[in-house]
Amino acid sequence: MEDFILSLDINLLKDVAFQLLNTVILCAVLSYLLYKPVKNFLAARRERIAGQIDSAENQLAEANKMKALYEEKLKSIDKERENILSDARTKAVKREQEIIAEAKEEADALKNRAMVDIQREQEKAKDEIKKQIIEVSSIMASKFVAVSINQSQQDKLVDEVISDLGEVKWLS
Amino acid sequence: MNFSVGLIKEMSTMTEGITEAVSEAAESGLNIQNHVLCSDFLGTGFRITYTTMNTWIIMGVLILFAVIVRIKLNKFKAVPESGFQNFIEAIVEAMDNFVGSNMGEKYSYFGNWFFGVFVFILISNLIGLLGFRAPTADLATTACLGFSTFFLIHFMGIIKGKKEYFKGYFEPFPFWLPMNIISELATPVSLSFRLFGNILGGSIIMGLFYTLPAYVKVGIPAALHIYFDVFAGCLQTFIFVMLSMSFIADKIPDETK
Repeated sequence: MEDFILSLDINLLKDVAFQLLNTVILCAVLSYLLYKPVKNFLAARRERIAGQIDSAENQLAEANKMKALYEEKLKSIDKERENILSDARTKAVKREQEIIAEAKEEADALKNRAMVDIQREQEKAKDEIKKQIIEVSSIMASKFVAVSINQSQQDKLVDEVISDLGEVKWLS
Repeated sequence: MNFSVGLIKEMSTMTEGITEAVSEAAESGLNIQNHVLCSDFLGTGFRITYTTMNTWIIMGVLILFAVIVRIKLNKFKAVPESGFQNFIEAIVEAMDNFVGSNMGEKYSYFGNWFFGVFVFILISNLIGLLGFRAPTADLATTACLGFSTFFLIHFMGIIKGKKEYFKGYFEPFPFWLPMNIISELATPVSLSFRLFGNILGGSIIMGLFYTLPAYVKVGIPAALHIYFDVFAGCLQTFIFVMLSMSFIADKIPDETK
């Protein structure tokens, strides 16, 4: 068995071929077992992270859109509220006026009815006075007829009748 | 022809000289010299040397490690909890980024090849720390790596643009063709000899240092190991892989980068 450091002969070529075979085998095995799987693992993770970041960004954009939409809605809600309030106010004012008008009408109606009643009562009273005057007159006539009276008695009677009439008139 | 034969003979004599010079150091039990363990492996005509043996040891360790990773991968969490997962993720991601930045994201599949090459060269360079002879201190290993880069350069060049590839040999002038061919051939030679020379040089210096008297062998070898094995080893690994990537990327049309 010989020792050597550098031999430029056919054995070198054979050694090169043998080493080439070894190197190719080693590289193939390392690539198949180590490099490629780990690289794929890293690539898959990178993709997953990128996907997650993407989806997060999408969700953020969507949320911002929703926020803008709701803010707009809120603004329009303010407007709507004002509209509703002013509507209600005008309606209330209208209703107030209506109620007042109705009340007035009713009061007028009541007044009218009262007036009519009063008039009717007045008529009634007048009629009654007339009737009473007639009654009194007839009573007086009958009394004049029944009793012969002197001047003083007559005066007394007339006074009586007049005071009676006054009382009746005051009453009516 | 005579010239090249003469050159090879000259180089052989030179290496014989080096071999003699360090044989003394080698006798002290250090792995400066490569050693043939079996000259005819299972009748295939291939020989088994320290390089082959150590390559197999490294392969075994790395494959075992890969199997453990593959088994543990199923338990990996989306949010890393174990240091082991962090370590694996870090090295794979670093390699992926390394390939991506040098060759473009589209060619990140080269990471499959260069990851293996990187780890193999790195462990080969560092295995000297454990007293093994580095497989990269053998021209056979580095030449095979250089040849694979050479093959990838021209393979990618041809399949990614035949016209540009062959046009490239006649630029800037048509008569520059021989120069271009030499420069293409120089690429794998320079790649493999750079790595081979650096690692072999480191191990020769370490081997010679260990032949010195015992009193200088306290503490100083540690610093030398850090420089020659760890620093030079990592640096040469990085340089080899980096240059291979750039050479291949050069032959790929620019628009795809």
